[in-house]
Amino acid sequence: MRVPLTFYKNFSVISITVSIICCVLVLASGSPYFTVMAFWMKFFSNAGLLAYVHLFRADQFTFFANLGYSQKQLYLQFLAIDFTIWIILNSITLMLR
Amino acid sequence: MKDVLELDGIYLEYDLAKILTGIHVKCETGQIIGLLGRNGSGKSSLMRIVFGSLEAQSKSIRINEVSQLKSFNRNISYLPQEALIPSFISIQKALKLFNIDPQCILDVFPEARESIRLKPNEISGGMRKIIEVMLILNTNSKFALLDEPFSGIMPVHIETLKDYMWSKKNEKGIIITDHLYRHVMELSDTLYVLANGKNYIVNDEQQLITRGYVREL
Repeated sequence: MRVPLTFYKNFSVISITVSIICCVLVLASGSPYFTVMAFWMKFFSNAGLLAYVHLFRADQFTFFANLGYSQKQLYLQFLAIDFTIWIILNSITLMLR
Repeated sequence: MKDVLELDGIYLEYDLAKILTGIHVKCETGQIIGLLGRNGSGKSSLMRIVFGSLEAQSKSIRINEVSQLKSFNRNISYLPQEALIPSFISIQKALKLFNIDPQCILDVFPEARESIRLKPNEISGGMRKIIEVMLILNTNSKFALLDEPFSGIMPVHIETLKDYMWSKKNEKGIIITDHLYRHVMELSDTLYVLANGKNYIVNDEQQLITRGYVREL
């Protein structure tokens, strides 16, 4: 997991900030149904982020390819890590509500 | 036992412009293969195809007669012309990801001690290139593809790098391309020039003139 975590770390500030905003919105709305909306917000922000990486930061993929990781593998593992964090943060938010 | 990398049947075209049409290159561990050619002759494209980061219309890449269908299988490492280590990763971290002991770089380039602690965009372009070449040469891959490994490096360090490549060829097969062609010629066991989409073996330096690569020797 060292390699996917290193790739994730590059975008973790933006990604975790969006997750926290989602949690704040769920808390502020007071409704657990808002989680669905927060999910879509997270989904589209990640799609935008990965599109940006794909189009403008593609030069870094040679480094990861030398470690045996294709772009597709990195994207999938990025999403897996990010949605795990999102689920944990949302579960805590729903418990706090 | 020697490992053998063979490339042939590579066909690449962009917008009907034929870039590579008749390539046959064989590289064994213990060998350095030099590739020369004019700008746009397809040297970098060939390396990217072999590495797996560029799709060709057709290709056959084999290691020990086994087709390499999966890209990035770690048998082949690749140094691109551009920067290799992303700017957000420290050099120390990058070496750690490849399980490379920084000492193996410091033994050859003691002046890299300070640079290794920094991020690639915080050090000079030449030192960055040296570290990246050393990184690729120290991976566990059987073959290393080096695209312009000498660009931006001062002459005294080029000589050190050449000696190191020479010592590393016992473990690896190396394919190298650089416009500092005299260095490539000195290093290479076999030298090719790419022209008209094909590779031609260079037995006589005069052929570099004939193929339009240099005006005079």
